[in-house]
Amino acid sequence: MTDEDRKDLRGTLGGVLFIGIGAVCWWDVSSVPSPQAVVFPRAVIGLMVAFSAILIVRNLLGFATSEYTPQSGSMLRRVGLLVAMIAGTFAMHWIGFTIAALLVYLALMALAMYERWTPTRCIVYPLAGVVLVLGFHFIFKGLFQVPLPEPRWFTLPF
Amino acid sequence: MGDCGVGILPGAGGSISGLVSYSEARRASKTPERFGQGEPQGLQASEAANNATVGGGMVPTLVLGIPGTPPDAIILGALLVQGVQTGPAMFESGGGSMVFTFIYGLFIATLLMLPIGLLIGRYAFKSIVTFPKAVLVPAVAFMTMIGAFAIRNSLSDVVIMIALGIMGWVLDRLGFKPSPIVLGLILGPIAEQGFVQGWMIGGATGDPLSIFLAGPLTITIVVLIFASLFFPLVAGWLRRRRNTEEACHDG
Repeated sequence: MTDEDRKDLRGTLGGVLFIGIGAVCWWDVSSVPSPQAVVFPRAVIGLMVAFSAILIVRNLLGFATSEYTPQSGSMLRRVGLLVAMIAGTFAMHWIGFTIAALLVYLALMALAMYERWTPTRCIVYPLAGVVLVLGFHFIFKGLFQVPLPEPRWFTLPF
Repeated sequence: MGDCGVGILPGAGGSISGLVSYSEARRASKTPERFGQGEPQGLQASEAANNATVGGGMVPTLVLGIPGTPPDAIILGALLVQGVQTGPAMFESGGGSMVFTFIYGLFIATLLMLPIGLLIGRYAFKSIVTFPKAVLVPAVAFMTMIGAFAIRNSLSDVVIMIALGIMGWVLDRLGFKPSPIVLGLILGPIAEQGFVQGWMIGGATGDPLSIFLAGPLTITIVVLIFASLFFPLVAGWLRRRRNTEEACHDG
C-alpha cells in the first residue's frame, strides 16, 4: 500500500462533501416548524457529519484503506451518455416524449456500439429501438393512461 | 434468515433485502474490491435475498392484509376480488386450509426452482451476457427515463434521476459505494416513521430515549446495529494482525 493510499485523498474529499451536504441539510430543516419533525433528520445529519469527520481524521493520520477501484471504459462515451439523456429530456418539451426518446435511443446506440457495423446490425438494432419505444409509448399512453408529453408544433399520427 | 425478516416488514421488498445482503456480503468478504465486477458472492447474496423475501412477504399479506412485496400486492388483490378476507379470520376458517395452500405452494415452488433454474438459466443467462451493448444500454436508459417520468408524470423527475445518477457516479469515483446510499434512501422513510413513533411514545413517559432500550427486542436490534457497524473494523484489525504475524514468522 502506497503513502497516497493511506492518505486516501478521494475519501477525504468525499468526507468534506458529506459535511457540506450535512451543513446545507441542517440549515434547511431549521425552517421546519414542528420540533418533533426535526429530531430524526438532525440525528441522521449529526451521524453523517460525525462519521465524515472520523473518516477525514483517520485519512489525515494515514490509516486509510481506500475503497477506490480503477474503472475501465471511455470517459467520452460516459459524457456522451449524459449529454444525450439531458438533451433528450429537455427536448421533450418541444418534440414530445416519444420522438425525443427515439433520438436518445439512436444516439446511445451509436455511443454504445463496440462492434463493427454490418448491414444486418444497421437494420436490426435501430428497428429494435423503434419497436421498444413505440411499444412502451402505446403501453403507457393507452394502457396505463400516462399523459406523455406531446410535440408542440405538430401532432403524432398515433 | 435475515432477508426473510426483511420480507416480513410491510412495504419492504426484494430490492431492500437484496441491497442489505449485498452490502453485508461485501463488508464480510475478504475481497471486497472485487464486488461490482461480477463477483459471484455478490450475485449469490442479492439473489438469495430476493428469493428469501417471497416467503417472508406472505406474513404481513396474510396476517395484516398489508402486502410485503409487489407480487404480494397482486396476490392480495386477487384474494380480495375472490372475496377472501385476509387476517386472523383466514387462519380460523376451514382449519386454515387457505393458508396451508400458500405454504405448500411456496414449498413446491422452491423445490421446482432448482431444475427450472438449471435448465432455463443455462440458456437465459448466456443470452443475457451475450446481448449486444448497443441495444442494451439505450434500452435501459430509455426505461429509466420513462419509469422516472411515469411516477408523477413530471419531466423534473427525469432531470432529478439523471442528476442523482451523476452524483452516484462521482461518489463511486471518490470511493463511496452507491448501494448503502440507495439503501438509506429506501429505508429512510420507514426508519423515520418508526423513530418518530418511538420518540412520541417515549415522550409520554417523560424520557423519549428510554423507549429505544426498553425491551429485549430493541436491545437486540441495537446490539446487532453496533455489531454490524464495528464488524469490518474488528475483522480488518484481525486480518492486519494475522498478516503481521505471518510476515514476522516468515522473516
